Amino acid sequence: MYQYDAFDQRLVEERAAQFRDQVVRRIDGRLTEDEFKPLRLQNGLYMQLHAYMLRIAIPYGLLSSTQMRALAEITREYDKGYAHWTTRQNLQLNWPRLEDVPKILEALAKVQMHAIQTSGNCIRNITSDPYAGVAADEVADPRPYCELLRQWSTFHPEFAFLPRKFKFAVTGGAEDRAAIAVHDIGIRVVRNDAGELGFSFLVGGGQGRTPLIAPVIREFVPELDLVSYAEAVLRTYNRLGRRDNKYKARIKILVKQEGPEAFARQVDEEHARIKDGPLKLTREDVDAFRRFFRPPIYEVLPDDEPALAGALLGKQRGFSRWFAQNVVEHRQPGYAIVNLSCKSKDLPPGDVTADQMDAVADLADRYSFGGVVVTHRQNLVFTDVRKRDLPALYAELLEHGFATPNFGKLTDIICCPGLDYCALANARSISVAAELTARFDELSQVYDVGDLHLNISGCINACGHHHVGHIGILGIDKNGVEHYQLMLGGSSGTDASLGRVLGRALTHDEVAPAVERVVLAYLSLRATDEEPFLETYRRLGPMPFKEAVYEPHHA
Amino acid sequence: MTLWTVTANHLSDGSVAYLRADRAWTQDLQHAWVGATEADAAPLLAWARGQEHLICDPYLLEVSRDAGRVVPLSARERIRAEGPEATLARLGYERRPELQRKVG
Ligand code: SF4
Repeated sequence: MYQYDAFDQRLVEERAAQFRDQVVRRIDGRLTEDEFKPLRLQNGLYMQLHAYMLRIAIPYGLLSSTQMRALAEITREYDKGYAHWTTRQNLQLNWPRLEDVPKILEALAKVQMHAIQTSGNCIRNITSDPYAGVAADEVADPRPYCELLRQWSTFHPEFAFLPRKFKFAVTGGAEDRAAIAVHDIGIRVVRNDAGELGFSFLVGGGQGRTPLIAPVIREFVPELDLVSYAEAVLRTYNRLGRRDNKYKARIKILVKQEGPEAFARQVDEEHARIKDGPLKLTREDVDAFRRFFRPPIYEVLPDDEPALAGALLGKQRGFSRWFAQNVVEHRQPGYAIVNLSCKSKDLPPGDVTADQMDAVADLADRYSFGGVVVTHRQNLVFTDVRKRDLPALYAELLEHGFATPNFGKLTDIICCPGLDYCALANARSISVAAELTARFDELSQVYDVGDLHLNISGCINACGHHHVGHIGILGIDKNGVEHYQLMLGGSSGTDASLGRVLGRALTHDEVAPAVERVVLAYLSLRATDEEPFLETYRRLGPMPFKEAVYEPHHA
Repeated sequence: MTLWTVTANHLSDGSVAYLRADRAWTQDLQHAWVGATEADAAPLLAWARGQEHLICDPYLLEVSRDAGRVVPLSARERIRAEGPEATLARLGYERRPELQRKVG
């Protein structure tokens, strides 16, 4: 993975020292809250309902075991022993004290981490495919490009005060595992007909108040133009994006209003001006970044591992289910990609205890070359596990609460913190997830429900990706009372689509039974046992589900 | 009947703050000053705005009384008063914000 040089290191250390001074001045009264607020937000420090919240950046979700241990230690020392993986592959601390935050930033800097640009109207943490570097369907590893973009965007003076926040996602795979179509900029690594590497640029997607699927504005941007083209997009947005109305300030609104072609033309004009300037990459630049992401030295192993075949054939039903659900093909023979589920009955989706983080660090060292990836579905991934180690790893994951065999399934719920923590929330999301997990735990043992993504957001900001859940749940406020809208038919995959509202909003007590009725309706309507929910919904439309939810006695 | 009180978050740790009648801050809504009208509460809010060394972003909060207890009118403020129901209990923390230390 990328290693900081002296310059990177100085940057994060100076930032921590600067914030230490700002906190001192806030506490002794030299800074007012109005003066301090933008400063703390620039360091990822929010004020939530019950406490401060610190959002720590995890560039493209990648952590070393050393970093994971440092996060565990911070969580134990400065918080209440648990933290939360977010859908932007970041980590949130729920209870830091103001005076401790500079200490936390210093501890992060020691392991090459920070909380810079995790808030505010700037370029946020760049997210990517959790299987980057090992996916069988990959054109090229997207992480060197993510890192290039990270360095370009960190403290970019021109883009510190954009009209609104700005999110990048980059994927190198044929299958979209990074939800690129619902980002301000989604980048797909591609090859042109001549076999050259480059990027397809999707611009103007997003969720929130105005959900939109991003159009492709340029099919092929040459590899060495990556940064200059991104700069041209940002400049165009910075110049033309609205600043008078925060609900119309995201780039998606601009692209929609101008039309993708007209917007692309303006970007191209800007790009023509700057593309051969200092932002033009050289082959050496790209190669230098690639070297940081060289594959580990794999052992030469047979792909059909006898120990594994034995375990699968034997009577270990738990292992077989987990293997079928949570383990994915690796491109290196004898290795596998393992998804660690952070969705169990014991904790809210994406929550993790400090002890669990330590356990993950230890397992990463022993089983996966010391690396771990945080996913936008709020789970973790070990990318490089020897197949022969899978039974042993499974036993340890089970012990630490990461082996729920539900990856991509009904109880692998994406869920934002909602009204339990978030100052912007309208409604609780964690309690809805808990109720659904309890209901569906048994159901999914009885039926093979197949791939079904259930996503919950506590408000229109859509941190829980409700628009792209096969079933999405959105918390709304009706005169101070929590209500929920059900949306069906969304997808964040290669076939990205936005869910449609099913009908009237439901109360907190109504929502879990209603979702259960949707799932039961699907089980009775699917054409074959293999037809996934999304296909059934796309084939039949909302009506039968609407009836099941709102007129259950007629259905 | 809608009643009014003044709330904010503490500067030191962001915990919920309610203004008491003696102009100290408490994390317990039951100890908060409660006024009959918005006009009664307005001068206290103005005073609270000068308390930046202790609290952040004060605002007026609508509550009612139910069997002698002060009850916020919105779900948001109920959860603010009681603390998150989710992880804390499962990890062995009591729920009330002022008692958020590990028990047992
Ligand atoms: S979706 Fe809304 S409630 Fe949930 S974390 Fe985001 S802002 Fe908060």
